[in-house]
Amino acid sequence: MLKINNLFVTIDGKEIVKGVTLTIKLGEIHALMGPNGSGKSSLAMALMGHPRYQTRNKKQRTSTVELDGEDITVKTPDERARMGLFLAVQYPVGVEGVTVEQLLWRSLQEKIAYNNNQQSHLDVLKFRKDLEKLAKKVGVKPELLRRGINVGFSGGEKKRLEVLQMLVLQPKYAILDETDSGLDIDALLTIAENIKSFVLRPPACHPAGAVRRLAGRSSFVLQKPGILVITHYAKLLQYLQPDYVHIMKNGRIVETGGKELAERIEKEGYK
Amino acid sequence: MSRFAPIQPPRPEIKGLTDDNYRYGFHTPTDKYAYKSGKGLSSRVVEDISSRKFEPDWMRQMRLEGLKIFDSRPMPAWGADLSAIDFDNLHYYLKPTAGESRTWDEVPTEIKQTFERLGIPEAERKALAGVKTQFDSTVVYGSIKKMLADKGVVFLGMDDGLKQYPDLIREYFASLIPVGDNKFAALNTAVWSGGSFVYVPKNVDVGLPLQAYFRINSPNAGQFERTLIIADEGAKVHYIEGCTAPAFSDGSLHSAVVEIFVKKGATIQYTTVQNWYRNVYNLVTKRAWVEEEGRMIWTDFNMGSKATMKYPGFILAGKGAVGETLSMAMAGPGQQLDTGSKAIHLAPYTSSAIISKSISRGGGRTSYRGMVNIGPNAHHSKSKVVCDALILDPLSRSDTYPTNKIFNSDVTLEHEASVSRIGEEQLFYLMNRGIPENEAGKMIVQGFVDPLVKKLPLEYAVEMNRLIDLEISGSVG
Repeated sequence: MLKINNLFVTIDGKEIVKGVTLTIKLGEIHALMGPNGSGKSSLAMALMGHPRYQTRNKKQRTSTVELDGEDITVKTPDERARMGLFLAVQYPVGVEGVTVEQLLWRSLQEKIAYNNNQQSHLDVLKFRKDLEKLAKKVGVKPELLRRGINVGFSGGEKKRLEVLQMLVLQPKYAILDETDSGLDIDALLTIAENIKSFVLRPPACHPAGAVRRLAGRSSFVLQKPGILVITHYAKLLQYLQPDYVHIMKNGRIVETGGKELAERIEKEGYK
Repeated sequence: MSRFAPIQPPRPEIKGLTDDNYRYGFHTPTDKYAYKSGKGLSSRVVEDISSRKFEPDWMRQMRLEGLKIFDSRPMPAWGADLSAIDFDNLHYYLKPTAGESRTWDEVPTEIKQTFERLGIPEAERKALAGVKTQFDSTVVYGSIKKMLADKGVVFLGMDDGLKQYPDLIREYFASLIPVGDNKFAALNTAVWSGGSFVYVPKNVDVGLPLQAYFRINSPNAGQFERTLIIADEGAKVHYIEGCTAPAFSDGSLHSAVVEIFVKKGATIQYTTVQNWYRNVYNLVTKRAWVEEEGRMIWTDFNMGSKATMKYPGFILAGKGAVGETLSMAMAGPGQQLDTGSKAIHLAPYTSSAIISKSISRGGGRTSYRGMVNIGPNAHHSKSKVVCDALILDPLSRSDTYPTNKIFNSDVTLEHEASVSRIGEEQLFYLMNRGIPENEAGKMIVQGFVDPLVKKLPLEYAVEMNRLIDLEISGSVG
């Protein structure tokens, strides 16, 4: 369970998120909608622990974010990731000279080590094969896996890569921040299908598959993940069929409903 | 403290690199020399050096001329801060004791550990630590020497070279970097000692890289070494100097001169991997003359030192000549590395490429200083300059000083420069995937220098990566 309790977020002293309470259980899809500047991305960044998005000060002492019962507001982003949280960022940055393959190999090892309390014995050849299979599924060209992360990638390729990383790292809780923005209809379809199938059943061919079975405690998803999707469009939600739709305005969640709420917003706007 | 750990207890401070007691350093005490000139520089010292080496008169004259020019020139008013060099307090000639050296047991444990961490092979460790190598290296030298002799390759210390090939050396010595080229080239000419002399005959491909520290049983890091390399027509050679282990010099001034002649259709690659002790001023003049269809590649890795000023250059004198410089500089606390390259195009269809990468951290300063000069005859020439700087923290600094002089309209010139901070965003992105901050920082730095490190021979590339790891451990964030 990812339990956000009365969360405040400030950037450079300015309060952006003003007391959000939200609980995401495994197997649930939550959609978060709201006008630009309402604090959706700030909430996402703060959940992942970006240092500019401060969640702790004297006034905000009652703010907590619990991941399976453990408060993560004191954890660094990498600790949160290893514990099973994942953020598909809205604007993925380029890192020259660090390839996708390298990054994911390293990430997976870190995560496995966290679960097993020891070095992993991941087979690099199998990892490569599985990675290519997954890449094909989300439409990431294999040659991109051996290039610097997001360096010279198109907008669509960057978004697909975010989804690919989620499939490889198999988080228990994933936050997808406008992963559907700026995509053509085919790309949107592929991404929606992959998110949906990840929610229903994590992919069978998976680099961490073997290890996942061994893991005593697991920050890899074992059955179904909990997902928070931030989006402006009902289109993605038509594919995903979220269990809950939340509307955020001015730093607060002002309305919560089922998927019909997304359709109403699409027609009538936020008003 | 990490920006990514808002409420963690403070981490223990990582010391070491900023200490006076440089933890990867070692040094050989100055009193183990057979002969040591007195402090300071005078014509008597210069004459003394020359006569102790039994040099021909022309060399003695040239040394004296060098001294005169050195004395008359002002200190450079640009580049790194050199005001702390005390010329009167230096020894200009140190002759090592021949028979005496220390044993492996005498080498301090920390240094052995450093070698271990850098993964330097056993045989080389001993040579680097100043231990007289007993048998391993003799075997290696022996077989390399035989291979070279069979091919007619000359690979000697400069002093031996001058004894054995005086005419050849007289023809080339100081012909490319004249005595009065600059103040420090003049100083080197006056007091030079050590360095290498290499001659590769026509159409000979040396194959194995020639490694300076495998050369002779004399100390590898001279203060004022002088190197001359000639590749005759169609010949090919890769010369490597230095190593990733920290080089301690007894003097705090290192001022070398390297002259290179690439004849028609020949190729020379000159690789420098240097990690100077932090009190050293490293002021080096390097230049290559490249004839028709010849190719010169400078691969220059600069680490350590207090201040470095180094701009390896090439003069593309023959039609279709090619020059390349790949340089990397890394400056830490209290260090200033002012590096770059000079490309001078004199002939048509020549091409040059300068790729420079620098990293500054902990208040360190790097500068790129480069010149591209395309002369009136150099039509259809092209030049490409790429300089990228990575700044790891707000204390550090990087500058770019490019100069382009083009006297010909029929040329292509590209210049790209980028300066980036190790972004919080990049660190966050990698951390978001579960990679700890320190590791993420290393990945970013290694990714940045990767295109250059790949150009090194494998064993150097491995050591270089480890060294970068050691250098930036605990300094990112």
